[in-house]
Amino acid sequence: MQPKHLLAGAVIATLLAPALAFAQAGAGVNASVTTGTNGATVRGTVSADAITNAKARADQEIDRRTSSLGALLTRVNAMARVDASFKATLATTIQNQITALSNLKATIDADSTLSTLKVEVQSVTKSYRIYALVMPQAAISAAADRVQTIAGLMTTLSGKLSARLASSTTVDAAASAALTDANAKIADAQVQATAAIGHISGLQPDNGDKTTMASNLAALKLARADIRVAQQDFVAARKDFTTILNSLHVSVSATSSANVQTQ
Amino acid sequence: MTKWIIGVIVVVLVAGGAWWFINRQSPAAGPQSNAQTATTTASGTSPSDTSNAALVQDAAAVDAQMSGLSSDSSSVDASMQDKPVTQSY
Repeated sequence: MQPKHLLAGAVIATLLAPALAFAQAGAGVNASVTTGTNGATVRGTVSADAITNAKARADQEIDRRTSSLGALLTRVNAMARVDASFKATLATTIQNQITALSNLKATIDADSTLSTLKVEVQSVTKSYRIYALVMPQAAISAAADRVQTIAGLMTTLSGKLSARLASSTTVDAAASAALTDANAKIADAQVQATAAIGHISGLQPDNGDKTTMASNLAALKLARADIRVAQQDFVAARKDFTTILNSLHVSVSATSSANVQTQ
Repeated sequence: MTKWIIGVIVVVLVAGGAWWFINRQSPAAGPQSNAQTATTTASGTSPSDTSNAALVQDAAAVDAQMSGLSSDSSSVDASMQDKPVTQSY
């Protein structure tokens, strides 16, 4: 073969290669590109990969939030001591978030172009501001509700211990002091729980406003601190009860202590 | 003779009325009594039961709820430290 013919064949092959590669890539958006010489094909494949990746990340985040919100909604519905109106508002907010996320996921999964998907994925990021407020708000409410439940149980137990001490023939000063301290701790825990709800009940999503974001975070931290104080109050009150029970020669180590360790 | 007959009728009527009155009162007393005995504390014991067993049960109920509060408190911490999955597009 003449050198001219070889050169012409090489030129034709070079010109045809991109067209063949384009036809190959057109068979499926995820088809791999081996030539790397056609800009349109590479862009198309990268775009398809970006869509797949963006959908996967968005779905992962939506599923994560939906799962957490669902668990929290169950906990909120079980609350028995907080204000009924506040409870209903909280439950509605959580349910609305779950519904919105479900709708958003359906929209994202149906998106086929990067431009429309970009808008939807931005919604995932924006809606996090609501999630980031609702989750701690509901968790603190549930904890405050539990504090009130424990306070009720402890008040009952305190009354019974008081009756037993009163009917005792001997006066145990340490037990009497422990009972007084326990009652004070129970009362303080209730105050803390009420304060915690007061800090968070009126919070609104910041919608990107830094001042609101900072005030929301400060309120959440105050509420969390209140719950911790209430928890410490109960630990102290429980120790007081142990002192009194020991004074009355009532052994609780076999039952209640075991419950604390296993639950 | 007529007076005797009227007297017997009056005695029978009074006795019957008394019997009816007693029977009418008895069923009403039942549920009221049950309602009183059904009152219990949140831990399942009677409010007036100060026995050792009741105290142990009440203390166990407190401990169970305190354990739940620890879990709630952990949930509060986790919710405030949450990090979202980074999005890309």
